[in-house]
Amino acid sequence: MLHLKPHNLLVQKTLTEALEAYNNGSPLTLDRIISDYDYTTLHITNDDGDKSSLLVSIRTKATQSCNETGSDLKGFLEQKFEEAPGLALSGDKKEAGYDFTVTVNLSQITAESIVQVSLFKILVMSYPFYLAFGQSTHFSQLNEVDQVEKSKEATAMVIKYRDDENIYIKPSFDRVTVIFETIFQDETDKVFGKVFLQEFVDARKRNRFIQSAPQVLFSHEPPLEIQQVARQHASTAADKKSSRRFITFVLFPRHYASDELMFTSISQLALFRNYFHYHIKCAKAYMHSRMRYRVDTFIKVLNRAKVDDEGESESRRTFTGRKMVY
Amino acid sequence: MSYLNNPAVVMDNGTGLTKLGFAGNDSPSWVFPTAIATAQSGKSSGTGSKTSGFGASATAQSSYVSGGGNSTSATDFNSLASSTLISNNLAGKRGTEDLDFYIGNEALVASQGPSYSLSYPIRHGQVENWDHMERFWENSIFKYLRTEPEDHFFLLTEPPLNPPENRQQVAEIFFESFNCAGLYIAVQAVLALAASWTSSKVTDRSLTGTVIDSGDGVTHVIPVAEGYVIGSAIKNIPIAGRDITLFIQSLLRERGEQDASLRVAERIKQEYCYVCPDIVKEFNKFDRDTEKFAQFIVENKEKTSRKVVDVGYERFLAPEIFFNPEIASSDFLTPLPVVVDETIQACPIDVRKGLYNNIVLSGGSTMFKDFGRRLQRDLKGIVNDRIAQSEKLSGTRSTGVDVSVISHKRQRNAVWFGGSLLAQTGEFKSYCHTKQDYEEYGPDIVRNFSLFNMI
Repeated sequence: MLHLKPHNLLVQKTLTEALEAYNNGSPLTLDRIISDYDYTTLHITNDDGDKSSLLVSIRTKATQSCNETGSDLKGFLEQKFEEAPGLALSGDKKEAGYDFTVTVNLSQITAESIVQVSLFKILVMSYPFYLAFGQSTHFSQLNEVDQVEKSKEATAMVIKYRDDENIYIKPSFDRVTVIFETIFQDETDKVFGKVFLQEFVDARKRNRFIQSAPQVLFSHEPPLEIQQVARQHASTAADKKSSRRFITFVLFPRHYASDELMFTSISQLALFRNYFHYHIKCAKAYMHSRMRYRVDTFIKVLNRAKVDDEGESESRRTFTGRKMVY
Repeated sequence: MSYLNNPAVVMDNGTGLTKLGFAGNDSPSWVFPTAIATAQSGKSSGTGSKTSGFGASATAQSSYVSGGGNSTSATDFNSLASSTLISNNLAGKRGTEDLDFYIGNEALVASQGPSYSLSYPIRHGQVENWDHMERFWENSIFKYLRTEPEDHFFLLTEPPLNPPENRQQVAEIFFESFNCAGLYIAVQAVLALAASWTSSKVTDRSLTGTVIDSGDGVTHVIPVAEGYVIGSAIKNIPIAGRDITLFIQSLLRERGEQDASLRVAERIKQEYCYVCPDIVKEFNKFDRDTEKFAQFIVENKEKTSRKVVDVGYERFLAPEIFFNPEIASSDFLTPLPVVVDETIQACPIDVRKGLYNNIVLSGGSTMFKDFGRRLQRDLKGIVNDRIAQSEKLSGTRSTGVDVSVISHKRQRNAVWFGGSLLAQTGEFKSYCHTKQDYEEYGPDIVRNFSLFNMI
């Protein structure tokens, strides 16, 4: 309950149902719109005339900027989907209005491939992360002088995944720095967000069990790593400057040592903002339930103070104050 | 302003089931019970103290592969339990009990354990427990629909005669807790009318008609004129899906069938029952033609045991309790067509023709074959008798009243589907109250919503 899962439950459910129906000999006719975080829309449809294959298309805000960070986002996705049976990224015939389309062959897919499709959005966003990890490993193999030089030269990659919030990734020979820019539209959220982020920073210091977790930093000014890049983007959102905050995660090689670790780190990071906002909302809900409880107790107190005036007219009292009993 | 491209979220929270989905789809994405399982206070729930910091553990990755999530079939619990119980290690330190809950089918499963208690936050269509409802919404938005409420417009439903204070509460939660971009609260009956536009029988898309909404617990007959519910004329019938199931069960028990569980009765109701035009004739038909009898085979999961349950007269007798309630209940004896007629007669005379003309069915218990046809025939009988009588008494000719009952393919989730239809139109967003409006005027603003005047 505390964690959001990286894969889209709804895509998973829809595809599992489609697979079941296909295996039972009555393929479903699908035309579904599914949404995901950060302006992501997925569309699941039947391939024209071919009941055994489905098309899953994605449109997400991050695509463009992810594409700019490297040269071959499409190739990367193609390779990711090839690993799972029954999936293929259709290169040419992508659906109009969407960024990528995957053809799902119902006669071949397994539970793993369904999960792979439901990770579609994370996969798109993971491209720059993988690039950064790759660069970092590359730098670390150079000699000592080059290491520092190259790391300095490396520019931060930007994922523009929302309107005025970005993720910056800066690879270096001994670490990868991931910086989140956050802006709150709501005043209350701002306060909650600040408390939450500081807690995030402090929790690591307090709790020795999570010492292996990446370092977290919180600042009002763009961190040095991204000052150049951030300045370019900041001009567009100058008016919102006062409410901009930066959260920095420093990943060390142990966080991306194996493929599995890489994937876990990426999916946690890619969901960070959603997780963050989700918990702000949970915190508010909790406050509200406390407030309701309080109001209820106050009302109880007030009710106790109510004067009972109904009995007065019926029961008569004697001059000395005793009740008349008939 | 890129949220304008995002599909609106349509949420229909009913007493029994919640329907969630995105506008533009033809069926809800999630249908699960409106139930929430919360950790019992004073007891530590079974959350382990596993550390799952960034990159520190790979348990999350391995366990979600098999999880089917909150599928309506509610299977595959073991994998769910292992993956969802990974807890933040802060949980041990300070209270995060408020985050320890499950909704929907997961809640039903969790409540079977010792540490969770189950509750249904909606009673009789209205929200009873706002704390639970707020958390229910929170989880359904973030976990199941995976949407950031700031980027989406929301269409919620409410029962007819919902007090405006409840609307205000809803608005407070949606705007203040969730900061949703915009909100529209629609009356369920009106959405059910909108859903009937998909039927080929409907030629003009008017929002005048009588809605017969029969779910699991209760059946409502709701007259709607030009999009406004005529509250004073609404009538309830205490006969609905559950009563039919119980009636079938009692018939099975009387006959001494091998398996007379509620589940079997429900399957029989869904698969075999239909509405007949005349009970006596139907009985004769059954007696003459043994092929009418059906057999329902119960197998357990491993297919080792096999029970055969005969399905007989209950095929047509069960739905008959709508039309002849005396066969099943002793305290409510008015047949459905009479109630519908009474409802319409209680409405202003100017709209009655429109109400007779457009009787719309909604809800799972109206799905029986020929239900609409039988209702139309019975109602026509009542109306024609009255017309004949008034013609005799006054000596003038009546122009006649056209009775038509509309059944369509989307009856089961008619309310949700109507919401999806309305919320995908371009104008929808202009009818919503936005976050800015809310901040400008306060929660009072949701007391009034302008009606859709769709074409």
